[in-house]
Amino acid sequence: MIKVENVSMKFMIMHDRIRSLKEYTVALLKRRLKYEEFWALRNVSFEVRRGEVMGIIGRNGAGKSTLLKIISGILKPTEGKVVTCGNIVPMLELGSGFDHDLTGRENIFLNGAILGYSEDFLKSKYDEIVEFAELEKFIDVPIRNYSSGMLMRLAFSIATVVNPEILIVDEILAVGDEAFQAKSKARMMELMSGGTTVLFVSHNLDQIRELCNRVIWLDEGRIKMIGDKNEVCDAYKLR
Amino acid sequence: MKTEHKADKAKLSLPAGCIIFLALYFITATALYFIAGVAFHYDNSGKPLLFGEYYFAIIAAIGLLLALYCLRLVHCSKTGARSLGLNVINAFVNYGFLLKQLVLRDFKAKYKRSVLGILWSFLNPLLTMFVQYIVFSTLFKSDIPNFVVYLLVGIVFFSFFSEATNMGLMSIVSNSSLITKVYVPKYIFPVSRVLSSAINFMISMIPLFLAVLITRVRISVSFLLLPFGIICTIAFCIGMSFILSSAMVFFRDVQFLWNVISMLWMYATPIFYPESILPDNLMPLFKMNPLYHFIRFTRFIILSGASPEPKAYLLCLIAAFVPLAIGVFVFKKTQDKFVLNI
Repeated sequence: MIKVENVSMKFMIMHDRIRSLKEYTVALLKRRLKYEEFWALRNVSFEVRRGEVMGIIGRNGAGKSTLLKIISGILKPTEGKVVTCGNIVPMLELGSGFDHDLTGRENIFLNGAILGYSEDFLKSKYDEIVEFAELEKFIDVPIRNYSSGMLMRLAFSIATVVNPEILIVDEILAVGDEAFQAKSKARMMELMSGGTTVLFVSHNLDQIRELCNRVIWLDEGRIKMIGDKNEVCDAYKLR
Repeated sequence: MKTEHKADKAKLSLPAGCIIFLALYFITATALYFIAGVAFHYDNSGKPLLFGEYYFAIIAAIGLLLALYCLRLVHCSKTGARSLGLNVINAFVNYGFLLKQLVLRDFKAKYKRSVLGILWSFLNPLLTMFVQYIVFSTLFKSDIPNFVVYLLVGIVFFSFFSEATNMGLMSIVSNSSLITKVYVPKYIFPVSRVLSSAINFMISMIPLFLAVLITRVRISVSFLLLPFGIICTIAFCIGMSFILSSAMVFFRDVQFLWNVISMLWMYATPIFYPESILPDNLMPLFKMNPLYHFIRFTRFIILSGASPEPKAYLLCLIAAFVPLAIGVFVFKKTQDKFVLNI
């Protein structure tokens, strides 16, 4: 269950990015600390029921990613409140917690811990992760020697080994070679159909129609339309 | 204005509360017993020091307070009310594994591509000690008895401070890719950096004890009091890392500034010179330096084989937990803005 109540997000955009103490004092003395307000989200409220798949569509810069970040707890909204129930697995960017000097095995535990898995859970699922990633041979090699495809396979396997109560997906990730792409897509479908609450951002309207129950259309930080997937998708296409 | 994560709340049952109570009670009782016992031993005049006389009364009072507090914790966890102690326990239950992984990563990453690896934690203080020993025992004559141990205590403590704060300083900035993509409590990064330096700190205690053995310092029961000074130092470093890492997010020149300040700090701390050369009128200024108290505390225990006066414990506690409290405050105030600035 996800409940978003009147969420607004304001960013302060500084004209020239002040990064040092010196620049800051100079700007302060010259009274040149100018900020520009930018509202990435304004008064967004909606509710996603348990087990529902909610699609989010909108143009670039409409606030989709900001919304996902607020729901996963990375950003704090300027106004409003988000209530979530259950463990969240955000699949925003895979493998962001990897340390390139550690081996694949060590990274499974590190990345799993970052995603909030428990030690016992990781130990019991360890073989499954390695097998799914097809990395049995390379698991004790530092991942700086991995190819980018191998890295993505490992990251994907770690992220999807859990059956989360809330899954946040920013575009369906098709990673690796063709065979693995098919496998990973099947795994995503399995996760999304298995009774979990899903928030799904995509530019692919066909996928949205195929997978979602309801759809939110975000435009310039506001909800332009929310409702049945076909209605919203049709309206979005006509715009 | 807030994002709630309901999964963050663990339940604390009555038996668990009892276990926490017993553990805390046991630790304080033994610690006080040692302080009282050793302080009494040190006093020699036949008059027990403050807590020697009232030991059992004090212990009973502390026990009662702890029991009440633990009962409150259990009560809070049942009703779902918020309490600081409960939050701390929850944090450990929920993020203990992550903390362990991060500490391991920092520690492994440090010596990953060096030939001698972990041996460096051991060699570093020894080599620094040799250099400084040669300089200060030949060029500048010092009349400190057992200069080797005196020097080594200073070096070990100061290099921990400098390593922990330098690592802590970068902790938020260098984990920016994580902070902007996954929800992880941010305090875990400075804490893990300091703890991984603390492993180093423990390893560098080994050469210190070798020096103690070689110079034939009498080993006494009071050595059991050493962890007090160590824990205070770690708490102080965590506090400093909180302040520095949040400052670093907003102003990147903090790292260069900190290089200069930590060098100044090194000279302001009696590491290789005796306290006696400090001018009397500047003493209050030097006593503002938390490291001074931790190092003095440790040196006193090792070199005199007795417990420092009770006031020293109080000073160490203040020197450790006031900066920690300030650090927690600063960090809490600024942490929501980290994502926007890194």
